[in-house]
Amino acid sequence: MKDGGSSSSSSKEIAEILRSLSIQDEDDQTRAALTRLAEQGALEQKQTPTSLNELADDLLKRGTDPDGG
Amino acid sequence: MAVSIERICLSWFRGAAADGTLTCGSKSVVVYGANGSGKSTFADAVEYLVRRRIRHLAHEYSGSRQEKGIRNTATAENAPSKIRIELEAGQFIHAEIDGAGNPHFASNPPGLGEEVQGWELASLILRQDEVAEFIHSTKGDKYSALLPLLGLAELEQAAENLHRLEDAVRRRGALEQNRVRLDQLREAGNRIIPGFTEVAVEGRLTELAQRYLEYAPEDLLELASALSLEIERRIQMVEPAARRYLLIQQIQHEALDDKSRAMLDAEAAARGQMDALLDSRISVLLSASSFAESAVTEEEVRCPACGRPIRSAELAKHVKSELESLGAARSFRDAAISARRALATGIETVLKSADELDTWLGSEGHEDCRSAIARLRSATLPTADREWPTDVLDLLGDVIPAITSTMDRAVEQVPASTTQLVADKQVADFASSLPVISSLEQEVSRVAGIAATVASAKDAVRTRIRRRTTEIIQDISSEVQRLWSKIHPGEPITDVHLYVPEEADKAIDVGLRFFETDQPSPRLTLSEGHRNSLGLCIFLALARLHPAQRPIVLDDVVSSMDREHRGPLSQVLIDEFSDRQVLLFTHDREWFAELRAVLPASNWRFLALRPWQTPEQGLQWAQSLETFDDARVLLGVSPEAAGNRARSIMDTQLAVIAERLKVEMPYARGDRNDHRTCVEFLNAIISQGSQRFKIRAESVYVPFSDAIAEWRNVCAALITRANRASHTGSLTEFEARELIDACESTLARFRCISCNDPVWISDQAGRERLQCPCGQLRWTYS
Repeated sequence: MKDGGSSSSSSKEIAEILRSLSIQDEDDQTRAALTRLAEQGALEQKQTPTSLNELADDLLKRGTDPDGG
Repeated sequence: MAVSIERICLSWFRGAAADGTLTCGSKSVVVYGANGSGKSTFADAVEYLVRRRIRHLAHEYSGSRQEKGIRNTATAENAPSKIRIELEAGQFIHAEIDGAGNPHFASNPPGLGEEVQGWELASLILRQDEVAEFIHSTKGDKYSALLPLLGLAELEQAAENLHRLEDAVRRRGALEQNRVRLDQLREAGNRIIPGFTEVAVEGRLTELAQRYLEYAPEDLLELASALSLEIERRIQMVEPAARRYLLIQQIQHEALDDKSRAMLDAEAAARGQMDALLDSRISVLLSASSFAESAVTEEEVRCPACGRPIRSAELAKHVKSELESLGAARSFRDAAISARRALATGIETVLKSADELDTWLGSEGHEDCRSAIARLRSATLPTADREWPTDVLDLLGDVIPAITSTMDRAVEQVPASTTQLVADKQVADFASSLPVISSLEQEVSRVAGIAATVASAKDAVRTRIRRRTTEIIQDISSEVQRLWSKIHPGEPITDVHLYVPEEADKAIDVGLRFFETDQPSPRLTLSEGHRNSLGLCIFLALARLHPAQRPIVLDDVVSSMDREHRGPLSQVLIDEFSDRQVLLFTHDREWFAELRAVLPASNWRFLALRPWQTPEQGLQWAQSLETFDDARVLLGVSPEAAGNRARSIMDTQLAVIAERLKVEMPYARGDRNDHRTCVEFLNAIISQGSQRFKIRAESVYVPFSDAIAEWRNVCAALITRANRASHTGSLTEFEARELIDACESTLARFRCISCNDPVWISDQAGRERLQCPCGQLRWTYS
């Protein structure tokens, strides 16, 4: 059993889970963005409603940007 | 490396007054204290340093910082409440809490305070009211309680963040609003154009264009816009159009062409007849007819009409024939007059109606009709009783077809009703929203796709959590089952295990087999005592599996466990937690005695709290561990009660001692066996101890005569004074104090004054004898 765990190993594990997601091509931008968030350790930390809104806006903006934002 | 507590020093914290120190000396400790004596204050202190709050004080009366519950009520206003936990090697964590509940922390080393804050309380402290709480809690609460211990907190946080992020994407992307809007538009589309599709909309627009537009733009939106404008214009014009149509209908109903044709036919039939002559001749013929009827002779007479001689009978016949002929001619003339009159009336009506149609007649396509009406209006029609001249007839033959053909066409163009116009405009307007629908469809699809990807990510993390949780709780389950089997050997409750319920995220439950029947929850079949025991097993299993060797605090956790199960639990503490510091608090005197009897002094310290007196005094340690302070506290109030309490303590303590010493007792049936008195035990111990209880003198063991003699005196005192206490109520305070002191001294005789362990702590030489670890005291079996 782990004792709290280290953020880096958790980040890697979460990023690995997201990389192995089977999704449609058009959603790959979202998957890539989420994977980056995981690698930065953002997903394993408690996020405020404001920061989650900002993340959501970022994902939505990427979705409208043909170059992936 | 194991963490152990040297001391817990409290000042004005909860039940502690100026100084309340629990000295552990890095050993495990068992603290006895009657209810309210202040035991839980130490558990509270540990919890406060870990959580910065105390869970059972989380209520409306404790203040925003729990200051009303944390501080001793007798604390001076400016005096801080203090908690200091000292660990080995000079490490400590210190907290001072001011009157407002504001804490100030310090530690050595400096990071120790934060490290302690990271300790999981669920594997650190178990309290009486929490023993069964885990069992009673929901599957979700069990999951939450175990989550930090599973080492999956980060994954769970990620899943939670992804869950909330999905929600944020849906919200910020207005997914639900757009879906509702799209549904509304589609529903409106189906209502306006059943079987709504873009193709169907195009078809309807084409149909409407033919009805309303001279020119239809090719672009769908332009077409819809043009239709909308035109239909709107027509809606504004709906009243004039209806009036115009009514006038056209009136003109058309006059059927001028039919009347004209009828008049011409009548004219043709009557043409050539001379009206005046006809009348004259008929008048004559009527006179002649009267004459002929009166001249009934065969004589010839001269015809009054034509003058030729004729027989009177023939004259009558002749006149009649002439009258018939002239009557028919007159009918033709009357018909022609009537036709002329009808036509004239019709023309008059048409001209009157045409007055209001001036604007319409002036519009494109109605030029011939307008001209014909103008010519008709300027013509002067003869009276109906005279044959109309040729120029009039020519005029009529010229203008009437132009008028009637126009009216015949116009009357087919029935003006649309307001309802129809509105319906058609809805089609045109709705067609304008087709791009909106298309745009909404794309946006909904896009946002839903992003949200679905986030949801997939969340599900994937959850799947990983579930898999890992299942693996980890299998380990915990094995440990729970093992501990359960040790505390409940041979019982029909088996296969106690934790499991992740199917189709449930963030859930853990406890299952078992009860008399070979699977049970999904302990609440179905287990008694309160068994549920509490199960909760304790789970806590101990989690504590054992936790990699950090931290102290565990058990605060009055065996309240509902009977003696048969407390004994095995004591053995579990010896076998399973010898490498872990345990701080065990109990109000159960019997169990305290049992624990003192079985737990080795090398690893365990025993302490007893005096009954609570006042906040100013705070928690106070008893001088002896035999719990007689519980009796002493009654001396000033009721000596009889103090004597009774002393005898009760002796009942408990001597039962434990007799059991440990394997003292043979006379057979007693049923409950009587469990309700033997201290006098019965002491008599048996004295009887057998005279030969068996020995003390080392130099290198040989001799009967411990002093102890036996003291026990005899105490036995006599218990018979006389304790019975008086319960039966006559005449015990004095002095007598009660003597009795208590003697009882305490009696029990102390079973303990070695050198090693402080009881004589039975070590089972020597194949159960032939018992002795203390240092060998000073010995009890032989034969």
